[in-house]
Amino acid sequence: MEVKDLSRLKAGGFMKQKQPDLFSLRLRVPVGNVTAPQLAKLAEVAETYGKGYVHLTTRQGIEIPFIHFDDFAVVTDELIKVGLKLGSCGARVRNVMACAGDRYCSHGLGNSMEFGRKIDERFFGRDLPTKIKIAVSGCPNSCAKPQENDIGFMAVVEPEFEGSECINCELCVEGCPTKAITMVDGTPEVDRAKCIYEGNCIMSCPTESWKIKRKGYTVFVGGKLGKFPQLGKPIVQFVSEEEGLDWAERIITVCGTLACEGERLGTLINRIGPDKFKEEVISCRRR
Amino acid sequence: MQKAVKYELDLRGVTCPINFVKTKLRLEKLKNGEQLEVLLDQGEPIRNVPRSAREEGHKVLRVQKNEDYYSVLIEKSGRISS
Repeated sequence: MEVKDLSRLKAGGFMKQKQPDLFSLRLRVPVGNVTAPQLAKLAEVAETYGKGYVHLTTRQGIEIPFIHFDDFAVVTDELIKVGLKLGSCGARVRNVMACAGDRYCSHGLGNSMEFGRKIDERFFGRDLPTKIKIAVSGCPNSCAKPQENDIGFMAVVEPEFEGSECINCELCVEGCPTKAITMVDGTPEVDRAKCIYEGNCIMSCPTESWKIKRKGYTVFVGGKLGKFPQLGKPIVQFVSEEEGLDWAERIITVCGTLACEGERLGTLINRIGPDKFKEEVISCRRR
Repeated sequence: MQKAVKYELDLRGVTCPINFVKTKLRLEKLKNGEQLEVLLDQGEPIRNVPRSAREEGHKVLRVQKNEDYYSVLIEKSGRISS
């Protein structure tokens, strides 16, 4: 099999195994959700064509290992019947990850699953000089690890005290992870410099005296693991979903223009400096 | 003025969300206006239960911090009144 064919296959989710003619089939599983009918079909395909098991990847994806080259067409046909599409490997946008978010998690400050789906629809599989990994978290607990991804979104909330009902329980003071709240003349006050927009004050207040002043997403850029791990850093805060998609578009465009082949976004940012990178992103025109 | 009827519920050592479930069920058995004093552990219980009681429509009157536990005074206020 030609090298060119192999990399085209890899782009489409077929990963060559050590064993000849066998491939691990990577699927696209946006935000890690799989329906019951899809699970049933996966079981069927794995048993009929694979080795009777699937592998859950670290990016909330699913892989079916030990698929023979001769079965590619029939396997992809079977999977498409339940709406399962192939994943991406190599130098392109990868499976978009998200935590549960406020759809059902009591810590959720934003609908990370829904936002993640929109990001996937727009950017999945886009070809670039390098891989781009994107994740969306519903709160600063960062369960979807936004700081470990090339582009990470983290829902945040800014609190505001409106205290006519306050009973001075001081639960907001006790529960603040950065001790940003203190009682001043019987009224809680927040030190904005210490606030990490995590919202425990709002969530734990038994009289709804803490309100949401604004909410949105913090955008992290440049996170990566691998041989040279580094955490992503915030480039902007409190963006809406619409703005977030726009920031992602610009970041990806700048990456496409400036990154060398195989150069991760974090490495590019290290090379040109975070300020220059932010300048490029802000001044970038859409494709 | 008549003093409000008050009941006690000791939920120390009870983890989330069981402590909230028990609080909710106990409150359902009260009449509107009656009070329930709930004892809760520090940490997750005190961060969750008072707020959840509020979300159910009850009034949190007082939160008292003791040495290693909290006592929360809740006034029953809801649709399901005994």
